[in-house]
Amino acid sequence: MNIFNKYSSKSISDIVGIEEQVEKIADFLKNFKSYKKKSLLLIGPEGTGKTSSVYAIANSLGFDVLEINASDKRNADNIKSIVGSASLQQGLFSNNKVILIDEVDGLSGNSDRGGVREINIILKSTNFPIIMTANDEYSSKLEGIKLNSTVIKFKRRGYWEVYKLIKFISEAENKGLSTISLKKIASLAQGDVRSAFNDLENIKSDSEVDDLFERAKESSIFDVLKIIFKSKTPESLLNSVENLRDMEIKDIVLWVYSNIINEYEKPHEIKKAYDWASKADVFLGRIGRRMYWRFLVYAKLFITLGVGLSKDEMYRKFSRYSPPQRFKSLTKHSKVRAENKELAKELSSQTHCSSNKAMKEYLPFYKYWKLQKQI
Amino acid sequence: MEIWTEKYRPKHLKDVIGQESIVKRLSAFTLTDSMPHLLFAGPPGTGKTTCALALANDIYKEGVKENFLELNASDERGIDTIRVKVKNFARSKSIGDVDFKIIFLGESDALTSDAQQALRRTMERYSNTCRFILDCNYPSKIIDPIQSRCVLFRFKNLNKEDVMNYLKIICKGERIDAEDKVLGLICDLSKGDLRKSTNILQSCSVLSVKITEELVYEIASLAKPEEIKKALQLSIKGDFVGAKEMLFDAIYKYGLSGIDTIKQIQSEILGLELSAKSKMDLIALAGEYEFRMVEGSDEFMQLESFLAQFFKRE
Repeated sequence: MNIFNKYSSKSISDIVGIEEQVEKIADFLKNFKSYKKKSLLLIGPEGTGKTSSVYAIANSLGFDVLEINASDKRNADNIKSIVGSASLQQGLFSNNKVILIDEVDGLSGNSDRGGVREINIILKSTNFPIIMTANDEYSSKLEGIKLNSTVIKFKRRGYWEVYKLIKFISEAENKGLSTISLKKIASLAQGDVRSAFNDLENIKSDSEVDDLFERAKESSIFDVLKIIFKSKTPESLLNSVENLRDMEIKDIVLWVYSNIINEYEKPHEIKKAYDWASKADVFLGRIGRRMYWRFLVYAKLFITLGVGLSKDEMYRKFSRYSPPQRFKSLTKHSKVRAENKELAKELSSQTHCSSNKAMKEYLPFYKYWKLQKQI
Repeated sequence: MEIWTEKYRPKHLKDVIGQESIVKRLSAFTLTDSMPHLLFAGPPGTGKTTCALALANDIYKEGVKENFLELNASDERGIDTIRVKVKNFARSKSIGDVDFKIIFLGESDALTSDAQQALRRTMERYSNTCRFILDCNYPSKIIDPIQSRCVLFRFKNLNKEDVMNYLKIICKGERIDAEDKVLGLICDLSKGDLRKSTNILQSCSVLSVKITEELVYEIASLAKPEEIKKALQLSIKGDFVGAKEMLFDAIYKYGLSGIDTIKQIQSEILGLELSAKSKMDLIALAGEYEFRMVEGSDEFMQLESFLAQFFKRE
């Protein structure tokens, strides 16, 4: 059994964080007869508890749930035969029944042709409560449905709320993940509880969390790089500044400058782009030294607009951007470097110098002496 | 292998080359067996460490080992070193007739300012039992409170005559054949840095007993990583990717800092095959980028940006 099913709420009292919405839904089910509008429309981002709370409430109040979701074909005929007939007949074994139409905004225009219209007809004549869920508040498919239903909105869950939930589960399941990892998972989820649960389930160690985190970061940084290098208009470049919000500006500067030569080919463009990257870095340094955060604006503009506008024309080519490879060289030379360090240390002990100084002042000569002696 | 800079390092103040006035003042301390804290400032290879060692030798004679501690600030520059090592040594009593110990802090301009603050307190508290000799290239990098507790000695570049006399002593000791002209060249190339002069001389001698001017020129270029010049040439030609790789190879091999590297680049610019105007422009840029390095957050990024500016110069 997966974590999501295991830990999703089983009854009203289990539900946390969305009490207000839950109360409205419960009241709707309990006092269905007195409601004029015979249906509810739950709108909110994925993973905020719309479907789960319907099941938990139904369970608590003794309702059966008849669910029809995106995995079912939902054209006019199917809606009519499944939902339509269910909305009219009485339940055989229990008195109460709620019809759940999941993701109504996801009804496909082609294969679900006529589905929305059919739903709108059913909403007016139903004998049973109908609850629908949707992500996109402004979808044109919802126009009629919104008029015929009571709308309840679900908001993204707060970071802390998600964190507390997965911390609880992680402990209950003995996952042995560090607090930092849990926080990373929580922040990656961006308010989507289901995705946090899924991540938690699939992850076995802290290092996997790091991978996950890096991957998520990379995919977004590649998007930013594409905008900076490929667009030519100040407007779209300025927009990319907005996209930078969640990313560490230091990372962005490092990524952009590492990829200048993966994109630009003309020397004067490369020079210009590097110059802007360099200026951006200067402002980062100034922020660090003076704690004057207004400088961030300049650093951001230099690294986006400055670098982006350094090109004459957009390159119509596929550019392979790569992560900063500063330390590739380091591994290549790690042996020589280690040798040098060792030698410098030895020299340092003989020459009343620090090893740094010995490396600079004695090492080149010393290596030469040894080389000549061998010959 | 014996290193000549050590083999021929003067053991006593009276043997120290050049720096006459400094030696005279230091010798006065050995007569009374008393001294204040000292701050030695001056360019490399002018005898700061030598004077400190010689002074200790002359004061303690056989007791040097117990009473003299040498620390290299740039290896042990943290506040912990100051707190633990220095303190432990400073607070115990000296052994022998002299009633204080000496701590020699080499390259102390590399001390972090926190460590300098810690040092200042230590200097005060243990001034009964311990004296400090701080060595640095630039006294301005030492915080004022420490400067005010020390007597400042400014070491000047050695003049050519002194360096040549010293080199002659070595030549005699090692049975090397070198004309005055050749020794003069060594002095010029090392700009009064006795350590460098000695290293060049020793390197020449490894190859041949008879030392020529060509040999000196060849050896003198050893001190500069040749990768740097090659990197600049590649960038000028337009092969930026190759240039970048070459430059960073040098940096990793020799553990250069960004500032070290830009210094080297700046000194290479004049030797490049470029028009005078381009050279001047590049030197001005070197200044600009060194400034950015100091102001910025990422030395190596600045370095790479600077390298890109060599592109297609003529």
